[in-house]
Amino acid sequence: MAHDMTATFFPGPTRKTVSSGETPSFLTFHQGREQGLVDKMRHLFSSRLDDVRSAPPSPEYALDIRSLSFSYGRKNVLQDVSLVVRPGQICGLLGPNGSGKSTLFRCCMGFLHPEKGHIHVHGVNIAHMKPSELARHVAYVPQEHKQPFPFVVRDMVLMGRSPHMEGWFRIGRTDRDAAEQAMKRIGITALADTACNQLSGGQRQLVLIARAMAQQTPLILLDEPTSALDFSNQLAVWKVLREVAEQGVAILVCCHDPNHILWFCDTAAVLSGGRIFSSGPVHTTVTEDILQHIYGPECVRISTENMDMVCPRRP
Amino acid sequence: MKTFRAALALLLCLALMAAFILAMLSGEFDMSVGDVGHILASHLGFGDGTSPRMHDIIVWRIRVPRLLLAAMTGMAMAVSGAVYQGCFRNPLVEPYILGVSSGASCGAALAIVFPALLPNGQLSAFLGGMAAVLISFFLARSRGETPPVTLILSGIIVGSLFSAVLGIMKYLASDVELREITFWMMGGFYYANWHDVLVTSCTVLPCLAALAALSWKLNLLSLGDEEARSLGIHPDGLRILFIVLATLAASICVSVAGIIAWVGLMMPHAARMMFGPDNRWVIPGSAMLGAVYMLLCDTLARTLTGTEIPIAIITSIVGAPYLLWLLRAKGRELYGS
Repeated sequence: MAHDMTATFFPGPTRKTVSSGETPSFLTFHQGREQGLVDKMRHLFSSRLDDVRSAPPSPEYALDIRSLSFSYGRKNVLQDVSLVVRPGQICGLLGPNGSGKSTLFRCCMGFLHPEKGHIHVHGVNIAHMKPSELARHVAYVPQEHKQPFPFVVRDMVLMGRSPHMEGWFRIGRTDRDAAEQAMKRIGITALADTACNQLSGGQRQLVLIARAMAQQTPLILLDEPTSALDFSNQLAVWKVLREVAEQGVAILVCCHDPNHILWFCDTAAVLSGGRIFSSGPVHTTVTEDILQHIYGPECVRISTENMDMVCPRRP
Repeated sequence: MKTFRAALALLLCLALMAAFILAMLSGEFDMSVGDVGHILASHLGFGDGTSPRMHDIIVWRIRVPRLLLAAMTGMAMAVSGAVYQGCFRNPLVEPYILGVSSGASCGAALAIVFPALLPNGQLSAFLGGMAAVLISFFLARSRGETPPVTLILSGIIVGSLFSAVLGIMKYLASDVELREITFWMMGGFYYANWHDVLVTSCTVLPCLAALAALSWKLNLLSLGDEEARSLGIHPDGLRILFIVLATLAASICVSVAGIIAWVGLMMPHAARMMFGPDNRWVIPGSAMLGAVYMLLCDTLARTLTGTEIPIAIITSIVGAPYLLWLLRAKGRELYGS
């Protein structure tokens, strides 16, 4: 059912296209009164969408992914994925396991080369960039994991400066200052001389975020930053991410908890079967219909005055 | 922290000098500090050259090259161990475990038995060592990951394969060649001469210098391929560069000194205990420790009994229990994740 609809997000209103076949159940309410409206909107935005697709990449977007396709052998993993993130925004990437989230990340980091489409960071195409150049554009925060060598926090953060170091990787004053600054901003200065294996999972995650800050890139990608953490650490990580975004960094975060996306992200993209199922401002993207589509009918979204929440249906 | 590490490094330099002096003075033939100093000075151009000829030969033709060779071998083994550990993200590997020693000795034996085919012993040792480490690595690698235990197992498999080839070489060898192979296999610096010192220092020292200069990149590489790449380095190319440099240093030493096990495992660990995991300190630190350790082991090998004990026996007697202790004490941490 997901395969016969495409939805593409560009800044501004969301555009949904129902290409063929039966109408997905969650769109049925559009029929009748709203069907005309959908048609009108499609007409209105199609020309603008074409403009966006063919227009030169705008430096206005920190991340600009255009009709990206990728396949491992015959298996199509990503099909026609388009997504933008503006500076200072957090975009949450939601999708069931195997929906292509990791592949999308790997494409953004230049590990994989897409077959079709482009990825621009602040108007610069990242294809065929050398790793050192790419690392000055995109920082990556991996999932919290153990390392065989327990570097101290200061060295770990300093490693984020590597793409800025010249020649034989001399570490200069600016690098040390940038690392100190990053630790200060994240609030882990007190841990600077602690070995990473003596930290809690949440602290380790903060160290990795500080390393990405020290890298001073316009875009940070995070792979499930809170999946292994307890609740208070999860909140601490999200608080830090909001602060990082305030400083004008664009953040794309892949996350399995729809609540986190509802609470902490500005925009969201739902990936399903390798396609963008829906994307846009978080409250219009993570709707009950879409959640039920990707997670099954057990999902309900409850809205109160100042908080939205996703929870299982009561028996 | 930094001053502490600098003080430790200074201490290591002093220890190295002390080990040198100790090794210089000890041996079958008793000599005073004054005698040795006199001979060294005269060879370096300050003395009057009036030492007894016997003393001169013992110091300048036997002990000095032997000690230099032992120190360089210790450095090369320890540093290559540290480098392998970093670039395979596995604190349990070293040249011996990865099969480099077997591969290099197999290459060197080939050069002894078929000198027409492989005229250069060092080169064929390097090729053998390189082949062994690459086979071990690619056997263990699946889906972009190299599980620590699998890497060790594949190193053992490759090592035994090369040992089997070495067995064939021994079988084919003539009496003289067999004697040569056997002596050299036991490992030691009995035949050290200035030619060996020259060849080794021309290859090993530049390799070690390059590895020390690249040590920050080794830190990045030890984080794993994806993180290394996201921090701006090319993990595959860089790993090959590290493996080539480390294998070159280790193989050349194997080709002059035979198989010397465990140094590459123990010294980097000791260096990490002293300096922490940062390779900018671990590489020079393990080089110094390796040199000191090898000088002491060689001195023991020369003086413990009336005849010489092969040095590999001493390093194994110390090293094998160390690995056992490491596995018992830190095993879960090392291969559990």
